[in-house]
Amino acid sequence: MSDILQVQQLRTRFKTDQGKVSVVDGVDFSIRQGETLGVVGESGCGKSMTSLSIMRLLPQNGSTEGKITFEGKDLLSLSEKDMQKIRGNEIAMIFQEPMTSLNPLHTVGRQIEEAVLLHRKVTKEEAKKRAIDMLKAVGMPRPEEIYGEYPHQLSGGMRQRVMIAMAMACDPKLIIADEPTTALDVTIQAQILELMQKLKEQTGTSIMLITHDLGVVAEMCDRVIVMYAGQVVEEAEINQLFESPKHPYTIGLMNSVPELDEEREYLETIPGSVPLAHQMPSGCRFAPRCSKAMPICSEKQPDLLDLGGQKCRCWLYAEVNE
Amino acid sequence: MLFVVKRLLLTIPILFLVSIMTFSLIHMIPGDPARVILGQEATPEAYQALRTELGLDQPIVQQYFNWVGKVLRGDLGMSITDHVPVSDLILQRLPATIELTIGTFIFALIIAIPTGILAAVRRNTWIDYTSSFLALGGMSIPNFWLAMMVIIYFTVEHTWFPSSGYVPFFEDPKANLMAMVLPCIATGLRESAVLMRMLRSSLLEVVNMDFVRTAKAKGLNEVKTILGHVLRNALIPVVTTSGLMVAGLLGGLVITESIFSIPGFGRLIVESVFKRDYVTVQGAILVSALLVVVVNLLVDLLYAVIDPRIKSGKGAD
Amino acid sequence: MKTVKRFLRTGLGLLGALIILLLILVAIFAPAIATHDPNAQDYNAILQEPNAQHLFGTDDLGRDIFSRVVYGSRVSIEAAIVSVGIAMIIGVPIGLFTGYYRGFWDEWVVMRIIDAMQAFPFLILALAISAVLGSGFGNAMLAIGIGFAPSFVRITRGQVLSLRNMEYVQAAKSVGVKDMRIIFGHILPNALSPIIIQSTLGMATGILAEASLSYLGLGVQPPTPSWGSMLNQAQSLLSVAPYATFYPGLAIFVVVLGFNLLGDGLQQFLDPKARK
Repeated sequence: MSDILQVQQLRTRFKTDQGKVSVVDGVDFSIRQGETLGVVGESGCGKSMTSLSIMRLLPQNGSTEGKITFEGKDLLSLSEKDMQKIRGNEIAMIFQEPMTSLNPLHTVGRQIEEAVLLHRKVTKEEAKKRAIDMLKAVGMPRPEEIYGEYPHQLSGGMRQRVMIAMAMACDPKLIIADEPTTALDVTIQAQILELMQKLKEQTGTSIMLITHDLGVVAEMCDRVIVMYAGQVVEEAEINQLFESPKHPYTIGLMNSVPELDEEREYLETIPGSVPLAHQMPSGCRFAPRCSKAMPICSEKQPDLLDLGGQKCRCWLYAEVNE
Repeated sequence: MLFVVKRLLLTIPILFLVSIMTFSLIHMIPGDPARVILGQEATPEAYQALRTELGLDQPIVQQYFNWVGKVLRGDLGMSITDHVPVSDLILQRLPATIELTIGTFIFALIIAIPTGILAAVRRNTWIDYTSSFLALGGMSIPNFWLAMMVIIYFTVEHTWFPSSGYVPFFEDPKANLMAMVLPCIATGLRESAVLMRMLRSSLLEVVNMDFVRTAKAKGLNEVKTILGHVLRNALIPVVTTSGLMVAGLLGGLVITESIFSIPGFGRLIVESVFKRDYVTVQGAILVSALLVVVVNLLVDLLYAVIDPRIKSGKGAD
Repeated sequence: MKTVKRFLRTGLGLLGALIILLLILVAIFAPAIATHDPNAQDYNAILQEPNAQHLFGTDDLGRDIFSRVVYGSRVSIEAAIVSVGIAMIIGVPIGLFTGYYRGFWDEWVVMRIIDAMQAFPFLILALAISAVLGSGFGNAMLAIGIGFAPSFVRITRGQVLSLRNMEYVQAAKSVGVKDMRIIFGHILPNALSPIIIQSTLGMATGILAEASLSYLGLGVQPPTPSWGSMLNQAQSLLSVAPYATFYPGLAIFVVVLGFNLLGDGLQQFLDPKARK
């Protein structure tokens, strides 16, 4: 399988009162055709900023360096006009908050067909038909009626289905889903994930799934990258990751997930919190919170090491390699 | 529909209170209104006649209901000085004022919408600073002074526009519009500054909303995003307050009409105040308040058209 | 950029404060600053254009416009303070009590009266009140103050509504602090900043309104020099002596701008919501 998206040495910085700070710092990864890549980490790890960098939708004070190749095109050097042809058409996005991510003043139908009208040479009727078909495809009851309704008339789960219909309307090759189920009830979460899985199998689209929930990752993803403080700290196939997590941060994340079949006295937590972007530690960024920290950890940054398919950014494995 | 009925019902207590306040106006005159109106030299017959005409010899509650009854039939009483029905006077003067109001509003919108958008889109640049400062300046210019400066520049130094000389629209549309340009600019500058500031801050709030990012993620360019998604949402608070602006505008027109000698409604009030024609003042004030109430009602209904959340009874927030 | 913006904002606010300070100084030291007696008529110097003797020229009675503008600052300051003062004395307590006690009186009496009052165009209401009470500075101020009061009721009431459910207010209530003490000791101090902002902006409008009424001949009566009445008298000379209208109007503009700048600056400074 070939890569549909390659991200190389991505650096995203923001101008703030404290000067320029990096929120994404030298991130490398790729997404293969038809693959679901999970991007995991606590909030503030740079997951969402990575996705907005790919879409070039960063807030005004943000800037990006590095290389993002999508189907042979370098997204960062495209003109804004060419980028607009890609957004919503070849790469589509599903956002976290279905409540606020839809325009309250436009009907559901209008918001779905907007992208179709923009990217395809179709008549209004064809676009409308496409919108209704998409509503059907995402499992909406009475799609013809929903077409003319407003977001406030729908429940949260229904709105997220509308968001998915909107994202899928132009048959994108890549969908970036940023915490698509976080804002929803647990039962609705499962339905939405199932729907995304089904649509992915039908259309063969690739998905970049951003989440902090390892359960979602286990259910949906083929491969995972774990991000911490703006860097990739581990990359692995899904089975590898759950069988033998390498990075202490990944292990920490896994231990903090409650599991029904396990008899644990208490849930472990990772002490401390993600460092702020303008006060990064000089060595390994996870060292201050790490239970296995060694003297070298606070002195030098470890590289992302290849451990035979699985990659990890940690001094624990550097010795083994050398 | 329920929203419309509810909104209509809400105007009833307001109209009731407006009527009481307007009615009380004549009774706020210190001393005996008829005496004050006629002066000390009036004959006892004339004095008695006016008292009967104003209904002052009846109990006050009775007076109020008589007055309201007449008002509901469109009878605002007789002008004390001109001896013609006040309603006729007002109807004569209203067209010019309505034309001025519309013209002023159009002028204000033409200035405010582009500058408001520009200041918001280019936020924190010199364009933003300059236009925001100019807007504060525009809000601070006394409109009668601006009117005079405009007259000096456009009619004395350059004879581009007539300084006065109102012609009804249907007699000579071109002369009418020419005579309206300067008054509309003189009144509209302040309103445009107010509108521009409101639009700017409202746009800045909407621009950061999630659905704007969704629109961009669909591939819309900046212009389409602003016009298709941001502007309409940003206009909601602007539209609601622009209803309140009409009140300020009518007040501002009192002065503009006097300076440009336009025989409008505002000038009627000023003239009547100086002639101590309290009946006309009373009628005119009632009509001005009614205009404001009606415009606000229309604005609220328009608000429901713009924002689908209103009709279903779910708040805009 | 943010710091530049903050500096510009506070800079503009400071400029506003400076203008107002200047206005106050001019008003206090008017006799020292004025070059002539503001009411002295000089028939040998009628309608002179601005010159070394008469900085802003003279009017049709030969009075020195500069000196009249200087003395006119006194009327403007009075107008700003008295009109806003009246509006606050009426508006703030009503807003405090209705917002705190809510209920029938608040919903169906006070707020409806406020609605009805705001249906009258402000200047027309002021015009009507001074028509009934008679022209003159005091009545004009009363008219403007009454016209202003509703906006103070609204602002204060809005603040109280959001403050009355705060933990510290609830806590004070639960330990039996008297209502009056809660209202004036706990709620009012926390509701002050929007009231201060509103009163600064209100002073701008108050000066404009006083000038408007005086311009129409209903405010300050001659011969007291006020900027509005100067414009009224100079209006007939528009084509002969444009400078006679220019300087008094410019004075109104600069002072109103000063209050608006200060109000805007205070808003940026005191209201965390507007600070973005």
